[in-house]
Amino acid sequence: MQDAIAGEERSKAEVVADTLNRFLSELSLKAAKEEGVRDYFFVSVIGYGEGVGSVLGGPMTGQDLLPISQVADNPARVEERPQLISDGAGGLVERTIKFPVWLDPIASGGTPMCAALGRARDLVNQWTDHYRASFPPIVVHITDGESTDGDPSAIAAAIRGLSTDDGNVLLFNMHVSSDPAGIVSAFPASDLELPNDYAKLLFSMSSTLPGLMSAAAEQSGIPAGTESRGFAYNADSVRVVQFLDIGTRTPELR
Amino acid sequence: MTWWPAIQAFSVVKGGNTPDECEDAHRQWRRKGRGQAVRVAVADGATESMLAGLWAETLAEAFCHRSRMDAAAPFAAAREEWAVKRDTYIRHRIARGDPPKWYEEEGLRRGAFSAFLGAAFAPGGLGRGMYAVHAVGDVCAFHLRGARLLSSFPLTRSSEFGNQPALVASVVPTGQGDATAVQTRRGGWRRGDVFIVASDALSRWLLGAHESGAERWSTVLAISAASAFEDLVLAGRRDSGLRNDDVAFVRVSL
Repeated sequence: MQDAIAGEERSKAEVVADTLNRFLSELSLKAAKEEGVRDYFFVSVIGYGEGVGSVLGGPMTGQDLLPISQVADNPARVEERPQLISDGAGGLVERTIKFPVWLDPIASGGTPMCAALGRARDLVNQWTDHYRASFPPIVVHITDGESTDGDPSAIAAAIRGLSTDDGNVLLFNMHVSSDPAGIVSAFPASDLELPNDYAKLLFSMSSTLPGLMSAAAEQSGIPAGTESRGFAYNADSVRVVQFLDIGTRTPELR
Repeated sequence: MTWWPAIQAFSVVKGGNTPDECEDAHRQWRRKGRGQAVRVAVADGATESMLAGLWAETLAEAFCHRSRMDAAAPFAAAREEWAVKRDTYIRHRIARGDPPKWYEEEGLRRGAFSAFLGAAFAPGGLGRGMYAVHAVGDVCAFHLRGARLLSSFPLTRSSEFGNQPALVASVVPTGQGDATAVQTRRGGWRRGDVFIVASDALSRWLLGAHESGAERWSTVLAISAASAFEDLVLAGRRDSGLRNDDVAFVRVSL
């Protein structure tokens, strides 16, 4: 993850951390009402490398599964970042936005995928026991390498086998690339055109995209159909952002 | 002769919420004498935004009190008013030592969203008159003669209700024009006709019953007290698939 992501100077770890911070920020905003944040979501962010565990920093260090209100109220820090916006007359003006940071990029150690997915399975299992009526949890697994602790297929199947009364848990897998010439595949319907066994393994571990999400993919210009899997291979930074956006699309709360 | 249509309006908050959390709003207005007219409006604030209930009220109010008979909904005036209310809210928060947090600042900057329908009626003599309905999103108006449905607008089938209806934004981003797509329907009414305006959950439930041959028009035509309306909604949620959501209802008997 310390290698540069395809076509950019930023490392894969930096791109993933930035994307996850922005994702947690958007999730907090979706649940923010005028008198506090409503716990519409629970979130867990697990990292793996030297070990397996929560990668949230600041007051939330070490916490595995958190209601979104606690996440929103406890970023490690809030940075100010410049953002360019249209001035309405064909030009751009810069303004400062607040950018909360919950996790920083880390890249070290191997790829203990089985241990990481096992941790996700345990958390999801515990959650689905308590919230039977809810939309089923979505597990988005982001990796850049092959498993170094065995074949993760069975654990992936166990995750997909968990459910709430509203359906099965969704497991999506995204491979992040440092190869700008690599063929990008997003939401494929079969593994026929995938370049190697590793890609085919991740494909086989991935849930089929629900209709709401394949429609969202189509809206973003990515062909997707009823057989499409929640899987991407050789993703660059644009695809990382899109994948997380599409793969976590739920019915609007209104 | 004075033209004085009967107007009844009710709302019921989503089950599990307190009445002050209701984000559906309804308003009505009438003018007697020369240029007599009646206007009603229902707005349905989107949960995923801040001060959405206040925006829904402001929109409904603006349509009823600040637009000319044939003008489309006066969104610009409503936006100015909402901005004043938002600034007042922020000042109150600061004054009580509880300034908005990062996610509230961002949520308030992005603004609130609401579906909207405004209907205007004017008499034309000989027991007839004209109406104009302006709609954004999935609040619907039903034109009834006896217990027979003459028209349903802007949606006509229960399957058309989705999770992402068009909405009116309280803030138009800098540099972007107002892209709100207002649908308008104009037509005539006869004495004895009834218009029902209902927010999405109730509209979908009424249309679903209409499609399956179940008779609910007579029921909603007969309701005359808030308690009876609440009983109908609670029974619908419990027994016949009325989605648990805020509900607003206005009936104009011409």
